[in-house]
Amino acid sequence: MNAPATRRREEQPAAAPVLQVSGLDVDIRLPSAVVHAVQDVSLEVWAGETVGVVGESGCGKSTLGLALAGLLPPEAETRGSIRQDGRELVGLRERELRGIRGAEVGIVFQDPMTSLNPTKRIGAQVGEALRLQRGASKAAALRAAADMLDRVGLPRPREQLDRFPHELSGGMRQRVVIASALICEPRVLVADEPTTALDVTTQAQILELFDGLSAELGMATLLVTHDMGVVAGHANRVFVMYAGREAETGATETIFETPRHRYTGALLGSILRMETPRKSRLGTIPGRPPDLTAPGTGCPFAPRCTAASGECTSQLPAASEEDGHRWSCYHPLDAQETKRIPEAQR
Amino acid sequence: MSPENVASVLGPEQSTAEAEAEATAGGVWLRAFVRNRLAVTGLVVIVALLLLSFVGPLFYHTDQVHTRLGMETLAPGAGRPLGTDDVGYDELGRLMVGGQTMLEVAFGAAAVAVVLGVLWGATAGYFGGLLDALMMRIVDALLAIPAILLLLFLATVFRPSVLMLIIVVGVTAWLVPARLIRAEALSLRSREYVLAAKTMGVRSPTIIFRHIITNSLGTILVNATLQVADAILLVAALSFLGLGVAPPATNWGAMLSDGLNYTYSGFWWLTYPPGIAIVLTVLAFNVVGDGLRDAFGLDTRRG
Amino acid sequence: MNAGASANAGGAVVGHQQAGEPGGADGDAGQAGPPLLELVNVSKHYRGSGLWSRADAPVLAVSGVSLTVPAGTSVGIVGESGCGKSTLGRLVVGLEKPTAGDVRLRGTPVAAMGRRERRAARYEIQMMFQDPYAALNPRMTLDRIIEEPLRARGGISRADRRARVRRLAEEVGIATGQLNRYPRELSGGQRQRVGLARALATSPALIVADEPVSALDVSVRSQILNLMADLQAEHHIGYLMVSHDLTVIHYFTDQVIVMYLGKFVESGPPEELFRAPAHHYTRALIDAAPDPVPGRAAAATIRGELPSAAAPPSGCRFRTRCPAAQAVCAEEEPALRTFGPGHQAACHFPLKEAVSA
Repeated sequence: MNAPATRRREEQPAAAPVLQVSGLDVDIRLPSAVVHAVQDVSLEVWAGETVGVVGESGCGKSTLGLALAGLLPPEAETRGSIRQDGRELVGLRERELRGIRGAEVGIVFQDPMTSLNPTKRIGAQVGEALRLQRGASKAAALRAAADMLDRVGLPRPREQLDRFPHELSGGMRQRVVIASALICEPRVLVADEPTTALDVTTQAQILELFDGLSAELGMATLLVTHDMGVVAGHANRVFVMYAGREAETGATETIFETPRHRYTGALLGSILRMETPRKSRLGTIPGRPPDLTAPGTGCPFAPRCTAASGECTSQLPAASEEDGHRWSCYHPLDAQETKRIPEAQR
Repeated sequence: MSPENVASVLGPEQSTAEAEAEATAGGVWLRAFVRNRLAVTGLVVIVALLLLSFVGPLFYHTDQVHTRLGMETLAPGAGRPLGTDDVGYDELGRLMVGGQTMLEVAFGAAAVAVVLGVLWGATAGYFGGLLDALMMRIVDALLAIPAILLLLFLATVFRPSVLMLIIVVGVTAWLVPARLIRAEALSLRSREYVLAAKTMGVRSPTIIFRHIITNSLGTILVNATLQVADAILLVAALSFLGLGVAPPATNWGAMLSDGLNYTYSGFWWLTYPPGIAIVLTVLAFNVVGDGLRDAFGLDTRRG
Repeated sequence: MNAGASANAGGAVVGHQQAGEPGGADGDAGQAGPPLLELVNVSKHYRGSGLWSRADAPVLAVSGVSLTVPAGTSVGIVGESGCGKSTLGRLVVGLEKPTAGDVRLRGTPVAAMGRRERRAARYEIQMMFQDPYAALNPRMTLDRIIEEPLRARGGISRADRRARVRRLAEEVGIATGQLNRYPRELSGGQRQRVGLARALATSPALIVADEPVSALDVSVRSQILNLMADLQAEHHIGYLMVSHDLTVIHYFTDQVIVMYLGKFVESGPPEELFRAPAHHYTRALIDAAPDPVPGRAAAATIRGELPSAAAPPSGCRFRTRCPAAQAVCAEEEPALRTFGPGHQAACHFPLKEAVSA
């Protein structure tokens, strides 16, 4: 039904990963409690590849994105390591982080209206990072901004430089945001739900843009989203999160065709697709995600898992790995069960 | 706190509706307020002054009706912690009586102002259109009249009494809450729960009370405390100018006015106590108002 | 089957047609009376902003749309932002009044009803809202929220009201012990359940569901959709579901209407429509929808963005983005043609052959 896109092959990791996260823990101190938003997360992203971070509300994916972008609120406490091209980002002071944001790490958020300063002209905003980080002159920055706006597909870029954000439509604004994120040609791009607020036809154009730019600039892209469809079509690898932890990770194809973690399976089973038989009973996941202020022992998905057993609730499962596919489950899905998933709408 | 609520505090996806709900949620604002030491101090001061004015006379008996010439302007000493004033009244006792009047008028006027302003503003904001334009032009017009002049005029026309003061001050002060609540109503009326109520056929007055006003309580409460502070200043000013309650009743403004005649005589106990009392009370209410505003998160939740 | 041969309002622009076939038995004794809900050539224009606007072009939020919802069936309205689908929902529910055309409940135009009748009609059509966090008054307890429509309607004692609220809560899966809680203590899915219970309170015949699951997590969506289906089977309710999500519409509805910039563009049964659409916009929507199949990228087959609703393109409104646009598309608005049972579209150069002349 969809036009088949060119499948992006996994890059054989020749060099070291651009982004390397190890044992990342993020706690948020609220007045009434401490939220363990991210727990022991490790992942790598190589140049030119896109890793899709998926999960539902409260899984910690947005916090992870913020941590990588260096934008956590002051109430956040970070432990562990985030290395970008070998440089450690955890523990850096705000001043040092500012030098990295925009230059090495580009950030795109969900709502283009609040990401852009409504009182500043487009040209100035797009060129801002270039002036701050690379000391470019005003004229040079504007020229570069026009180039970048052209690259992101904004029609008549030179005319747009003097416009204000409210004069543009949602899709255009998001292109402007992308342009300003990429103007310094960062090594890493963190995109948190970049297309959720856009119409689906605009979304398709923006995702196409991401694909193109990612390849062109050889960036390591982290695409945080709740939409499995977006991940399926635009990520090389998938990182599934649940309750602040990694549930499963691997190549996109592997995760969709042979998921192992019960949560991944349940999630895939409850997604609506065009192929879902109309009016059939849909698969659901009973219960609610756990309270992140009081993580229990054992696997966080156990209370909602149909296959949970004693050991699931008493101890966290260790990760199993196979050819770059990693999952943490005592009762991973076997081939029989995975085959049933697209039809398992009962 | 449901896990989604917690998570959405961290993520950029939190809707403003949720942010407000969180801020005004049950005990959250109270706990936030209690953590603000300055605000709590203000509250303590207010309670202390209330006790002093209303409970004090029960323990500290003085004659506040009959003048005692021959005992005037005595310095503080045995049996007269704050001395006596120029007609022989005990100054501390005077302070208490003055406090009663002051606080009665201030709370009363604030209540009048808030009730009137909230009803006016909520109605204007909720209905919008022509009615809103009309109602707010009236407010604008009235705002253009300097309050002090209006007060002076009304005060000379009407017989001075506590009730008169309450009405006079209230009637000039309702304009600010009217504007504030109208702004709230404008933003609340397109909320989905208000639309839902409309589809259910709930009548407009009910919607205004049940949905608009109840969800503006944060703003209303903050404004009410600041109204009290303003009312105290207005009453003090009025009384200072000689238009206030008639003797033997008094209030701190009048006391200040009387006491000023004696500044050069060095009778400090006639001016400092009422002066300090006014300043303390106004500060206390302002601080409490600010504390409430922070506790409700009213400044930061826009946008 | 066209009941539209009866008197209609005003000059037909797009054409007055039946957008729905009854999806199944119409309930009673085989007699097909007037359908539960009918929109006849409905338009909604907004004037430019401000009391003294200087020739601000009116915004044509909805233009000449007609559709039918037979009792007990689900009709879906699909489109992107600015297509007018939300406005349409509000017109149906009575939050807005059409500037032209009729909204008819069981054959009678609502505008022609007396005040009392109109009030009663209101309770027959209720709404379910998109944002579970804004749809419930945060300062009201759940039982009061669900009870509100009953109180507004009147004629029922307090005790009976309480009993009804309990039954409704049970039906939607909210434990009665939770009824004295506040919305902030609930998850998005639970709030949506409360919204449903509230919509059901007056036993409506039709529920307008405006993006009922868009704001929910994927695994929760299926719970709510299952619930909605159960309630439909149990109470024979009709749904008018407004959504931008094709998969939800495809799964849930019996008849789909695609809108673009205030106009009806195509309608038909979901399988037919999504498998072999006639209109280019429908095709583009299908191509662009992300499909959870690895390697299938969302295809951007149309470029550009929505033109302004205040100054829509002449002729066919979609022509500025249509890959098949020709000169005639700018001159003439396309007429409605039939492509199959219940399948119609308005296009000069459709993707397939029309069946009738």
